Amino acid sequence: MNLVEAKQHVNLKVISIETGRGAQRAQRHRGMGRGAHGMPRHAMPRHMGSRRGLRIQKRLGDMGIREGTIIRKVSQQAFRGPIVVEIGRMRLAIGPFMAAAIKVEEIE
Amino acid sequence: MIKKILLMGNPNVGKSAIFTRLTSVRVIVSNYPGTTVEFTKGSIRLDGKKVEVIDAPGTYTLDPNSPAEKVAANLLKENDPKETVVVNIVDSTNLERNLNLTLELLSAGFPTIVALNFWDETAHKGIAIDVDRLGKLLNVKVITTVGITGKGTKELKENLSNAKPSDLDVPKEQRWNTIGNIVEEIQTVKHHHHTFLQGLEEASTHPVAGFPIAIIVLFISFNIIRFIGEGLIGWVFNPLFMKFWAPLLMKISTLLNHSGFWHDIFIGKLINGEIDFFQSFGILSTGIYIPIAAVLPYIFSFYLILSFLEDSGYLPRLAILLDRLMHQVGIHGMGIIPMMLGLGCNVPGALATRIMETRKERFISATIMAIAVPCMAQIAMVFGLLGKFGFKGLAPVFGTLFVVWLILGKIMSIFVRGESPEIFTEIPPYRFPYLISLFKKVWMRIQWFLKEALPFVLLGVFIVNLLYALGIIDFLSRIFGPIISRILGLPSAAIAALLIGFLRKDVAIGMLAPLGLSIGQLITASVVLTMYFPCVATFVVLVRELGFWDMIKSAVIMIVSAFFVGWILNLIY
Repeated sequence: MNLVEAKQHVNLKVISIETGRGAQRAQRHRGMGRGAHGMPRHAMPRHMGSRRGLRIQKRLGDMGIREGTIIRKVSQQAFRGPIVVEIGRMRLAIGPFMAAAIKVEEIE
Repeated sequence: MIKKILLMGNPNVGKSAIFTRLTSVRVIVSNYPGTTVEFTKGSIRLDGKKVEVIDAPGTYTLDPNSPAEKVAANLLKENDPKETVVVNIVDSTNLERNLNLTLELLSAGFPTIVALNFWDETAHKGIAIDVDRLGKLLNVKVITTVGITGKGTKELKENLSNAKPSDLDVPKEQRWNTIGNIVEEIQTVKHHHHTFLQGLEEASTHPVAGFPIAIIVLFISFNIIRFIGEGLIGWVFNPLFMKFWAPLLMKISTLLNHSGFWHDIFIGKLINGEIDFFQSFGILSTGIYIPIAAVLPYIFSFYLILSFLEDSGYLPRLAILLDRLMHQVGIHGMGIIPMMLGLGCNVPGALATRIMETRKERFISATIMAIAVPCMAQIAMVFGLLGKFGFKGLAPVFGTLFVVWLILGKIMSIFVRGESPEIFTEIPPYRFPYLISLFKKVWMRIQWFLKEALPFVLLGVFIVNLLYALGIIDFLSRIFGPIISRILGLPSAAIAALLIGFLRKDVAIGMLAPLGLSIGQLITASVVLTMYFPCVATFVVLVRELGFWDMIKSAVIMIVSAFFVGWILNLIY
């Protein structure tokens, strides 16, 4: 289960942060536009994506979200809008693709 | 020997508030991450010596993700650990996240003091922190502060000269484990009750309830701005100018025999033997009237409301709600902040684009802000000219600008190369604005307006008169007049307004008053004057922020789209 699918207002434990294709999209514009070097999206070589995936791991890590962190989903905007999560007393707004890269499980 | 003090910390932990308290140099303090995008310098006296204090932009890490964070990381690289003390400001209600940067800073080897800010909030949030124990674990001096009221700044000053580097050097991989252990040892949290602000917090980012709340907030804000602005003009400034300033100017006019070169420059033309503050266009009549009586009241009311929204912490919530809309133009929700600041003045708006991460987002947000977001000085003048037509006069201007904002943004989001990452931002808790600092902030911005804008307005009016007197305007109207009238449907004299618009947009809009335009022409001219080019102050900042070539691209987009939209408006009206 990823953070987009997860229930609101329950404690969630981060199992892993994906760095694959799903995570790549989070760093690009959704649904339109071109990639980093002006290439159409499907022509992007894979290694560029994985670097971008690592970037997501880093940005989440800078804010304290890593494997094992307990978070709570507070709200989710309609039509694949941003998701608000709570880590301790901090609240973060996370885009849907980045959220989809965060795999979580429910805990007591 | 200490030569410099660096204030470092996560975004929105109150660095600027503490900086203001330490140095009495006033900087803008708000409640959202990314208020400070440039560093500000000030100084204090330490053991009889002058020491420089630097307020750095907030950063979560020394390995930066955005230009504002880079400024902070570079500050640390450029300074010598032997001469620099780092004051690490920490949000004590959010210890765990803040300590990551603290550990990075300690590893950098600078003499460091840790300031636990927002100390007053820990009590009613049920947080207890063992400050002495934290100091021992980190091996540096830890003090508690409340930046906005100044509590703890004295203790901070006293400890600056004996700051020592810590021997703590946690490798990157173990950092979060170490933080977990530290926090567990020194912090206890009691469960706290649901407060009113938390209820509001839930509602304002709720996917359904959030929107009516946003509409109500913006509607109320707009009405208060207009009520205060119009009230001040109608009840205070206009009577003052009519009763005292106009008779005085008439006496000077009589001394100058009601005509002549100097009369035209200082008093302007008399309309039916009287001074008309909108139409006379002398330095002392219109030149003083525009900035003081027509614009200043709106600047005051706008910044009063904006500061309230900033300090309460509502803007990041608005960013979340509007994230979907903003992605349509290729930027994420936090792009609302440059737009809101741009409504006050495009200069801080252009600077605020630094909170966006990529070049593409900065290019798009700076360009659509400069094109389609009119500054308050300009809005006030448009209200002055078109306000008498009510909704029929104002809605086409602002409606067109919004549509232009949307369409241009959409086009650029497709064709500008690069990436538009998703929103990823911390949402600060709601805070009730601390009124003293709110009014100080409004006062700072008014001072800034008077210092930066007033001379340009006077210069603008002076140049207008000079150009008319030397016949340059006549010359230019003869050359460009046909283009202006054919494409935009405006009289050829409007070329003068386009020329002066580069200096000050409010003066340019003011120049439309004596031309006797129809409502349609006024609407077209107001829109074109907003769009065609930024004023010189904004232009300078944009060149610096975007670089020379991107600014040229941006300028081409501005000019082409301004004339295109003007042409369409001309066809409609």
